[in-house]
Amino acid sequence: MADYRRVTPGRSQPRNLFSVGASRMRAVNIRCEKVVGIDLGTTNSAVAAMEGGKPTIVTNAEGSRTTPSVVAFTKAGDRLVGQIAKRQGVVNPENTFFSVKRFIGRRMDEVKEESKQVPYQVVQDPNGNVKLDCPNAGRQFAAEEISAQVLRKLIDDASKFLNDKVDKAVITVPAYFNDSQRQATKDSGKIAGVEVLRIINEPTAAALAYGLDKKANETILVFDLGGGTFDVSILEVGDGVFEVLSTSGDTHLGGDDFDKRIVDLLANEFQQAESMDLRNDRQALQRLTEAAEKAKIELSTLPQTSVNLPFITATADGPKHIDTNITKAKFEDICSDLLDRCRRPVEQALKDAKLSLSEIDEVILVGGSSRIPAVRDLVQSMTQKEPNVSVNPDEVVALGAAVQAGVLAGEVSDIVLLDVTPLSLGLETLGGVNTKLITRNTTLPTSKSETFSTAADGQTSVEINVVQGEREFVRDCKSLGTFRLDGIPPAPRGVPQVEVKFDIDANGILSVTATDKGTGRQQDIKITGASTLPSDEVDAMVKEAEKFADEDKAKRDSVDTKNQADSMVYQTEKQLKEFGEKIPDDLKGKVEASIKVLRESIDKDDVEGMKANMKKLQEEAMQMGAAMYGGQGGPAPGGPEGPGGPGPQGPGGADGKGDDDDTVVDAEFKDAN
Amino acid sequence: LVLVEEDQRHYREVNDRSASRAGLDSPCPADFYELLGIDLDADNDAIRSAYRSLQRIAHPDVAGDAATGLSILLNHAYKTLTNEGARAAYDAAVRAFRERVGSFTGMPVSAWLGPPGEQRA
Repeated sequence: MADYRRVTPGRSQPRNLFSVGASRMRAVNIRCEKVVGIDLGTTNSAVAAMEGGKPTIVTNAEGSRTTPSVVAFTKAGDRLVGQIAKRQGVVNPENTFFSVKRFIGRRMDEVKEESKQVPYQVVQDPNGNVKLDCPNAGRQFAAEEISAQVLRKLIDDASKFLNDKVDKAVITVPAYFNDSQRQATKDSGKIAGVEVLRIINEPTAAALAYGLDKKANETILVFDLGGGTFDVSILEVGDGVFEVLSTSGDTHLGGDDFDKRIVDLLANEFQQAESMDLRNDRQALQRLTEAAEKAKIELSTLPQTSVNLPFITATADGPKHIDTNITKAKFEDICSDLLDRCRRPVEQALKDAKLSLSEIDEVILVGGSSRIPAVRDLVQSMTQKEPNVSVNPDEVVALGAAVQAGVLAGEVSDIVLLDVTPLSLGLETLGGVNTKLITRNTTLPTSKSETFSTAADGQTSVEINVVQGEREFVRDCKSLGTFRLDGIPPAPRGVPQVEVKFDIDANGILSVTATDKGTGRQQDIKITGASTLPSDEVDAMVKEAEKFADEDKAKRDSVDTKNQADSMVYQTEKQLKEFGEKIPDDLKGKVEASIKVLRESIDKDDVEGMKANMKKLQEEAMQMGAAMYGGQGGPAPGGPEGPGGPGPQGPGGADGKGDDDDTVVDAEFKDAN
Repeated sequence: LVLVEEDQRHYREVNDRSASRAGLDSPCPADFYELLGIDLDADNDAIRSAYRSLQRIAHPDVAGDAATGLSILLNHAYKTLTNEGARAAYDAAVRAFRERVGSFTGMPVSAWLGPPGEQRA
């Protein structure tokens, strides 16, 4: 439950006390559906929407332009999302989930390293998929469910900000995400109750936002170093066409890794001095991680920073503290191998695009970690170009997603994004070989077919294993799904002809069809099964999330009502005090009685009672307002001195009791004076 | 076999709906050059700008799912014509096809099919 009161300018209660605003406000309350763009980041998320033809960042309920991708479960059973969840992370490390994007759509064996770096428990479910254990909720969560909580908050805040229903979104993912990570992100959206119109790549989104007003042809390189992932994309932009030439990246490299280096540095130093490993203490680890992030950010602008962590732990000798300095040089030294890892994807992307560095017109830096000076220096030395700093690295991805959302919703015309498939797609052939049908960086939509045959005499069925990845052997790639084509007439091996066709639509959804050319038998599969969650489980999660959402809504409703009632009591009392002498005694008595009743229902937390009493009080307050202005018409403040102003005119209109509109005009004159 | 049968099917699927908006409501194009509306000797820039202006109209994001086939075809054409080796092979096939089937030369296209002894009706 929120411990603060939300004050929305222009929508606060007092306005309704005057009959003026109420009738005018209604006229502008137009509602239609909005499609938003969401940058669902490893550490921070952002939402944007098209407003007046321009993508605009939507601020969240707390007033920030980004929201930490953190979800926490408190002992009391409350779910916290965003900044408030992040804030209590230190005291509740086992139940505070951050960086879940590193686990989404993954199998446990792919994230062994990452799972050791977080203070919450990462466990393996019977299918080998990742689950996050939450002692306070007494259950395990899929990473999709945690992300869904973040999405839910983003969407709720956006619909409040836009005063519109939001139930469709474009969500961004790192370009190098594989199919199952994309599908898992889509599932998160489904669990959060939004229709995900499209999953687009983060660097592509950044380019969309950057190139929106560019008329001339430009070749741009987007260097996107986020919280947990690293992407490089090369695009050609011009005439409203955004053509992705190539994309490359590393899904295990990001700002978190830089934090980790500082954590290790501090923990190692401490271990040497005190022979105690702080990394085994979840709470200390959480504090170290936070301090490391802060130090990293400070080192972007300062040559040296200090880390002060009093009472980080206690031994038999008493409490222990960390008080040390980190220099920029030291930081760059311990992160040098991470910086080196940024090089290869840049080279690969250039090679795939068949371009040389001199053909790149602009280099755009995206992602919070691109603020690290050493990263900027690296980009500059690699590309021989001053990186473009005209975009905000934290916001540009969400802005670009909003542009694509606008295109899909038909709000934005004359722009088309020609995206590519980031990884090769193929099928398993004899000997476990990955035979690629569609190579990486092929422009979507695309389709490709090839004819295969049987490997053994008299073979009557073939199993088709669809794989994604660049490696030569299937065991090193990601299997997206398998299906079987049977009913092939027995024949010597190599004789039957099975045509396999891969189709990828603009959404990036792959469908595979296998046809036996002899019999015309056909079997197909739509690859959505790369999901790490079975569809019935997703459905169950959707239901559960809806239930949560209803509870949340009721809770929020009661908090909002209480705040409104509180503020109404306060405002009315203030008015009574200020203008008491102008209000007839009988009305005053009625209002005072209503205030008392409303107070009682506030104390009892009776939402329905509060609503009913508020309505009653509001009506009386309106009469009170009318009486106030009625009585005040004659000696209006500006009246006596103001030459011919409202003074002389006032009494005429205000004395006529029926003519409310004239009193209203009076009020405005008074304001203007 | 210049536009394979499947490509032609793709084209026909979308011809009525989106292609007419793209100015593609001519009879089914016989090859990628006709599809993109460019000459056989067009350079890469001409190919790219033709491809882009068509994708701006025919991409499924803009024209809806029905246009997927046409968009695939455009991608296929662009990829073929901007790859030197692939384009050389394709050009040879197109020239051979135009030779065999004939294309507009400005000359009358009818020929006398009467008995060899007579030259006219």
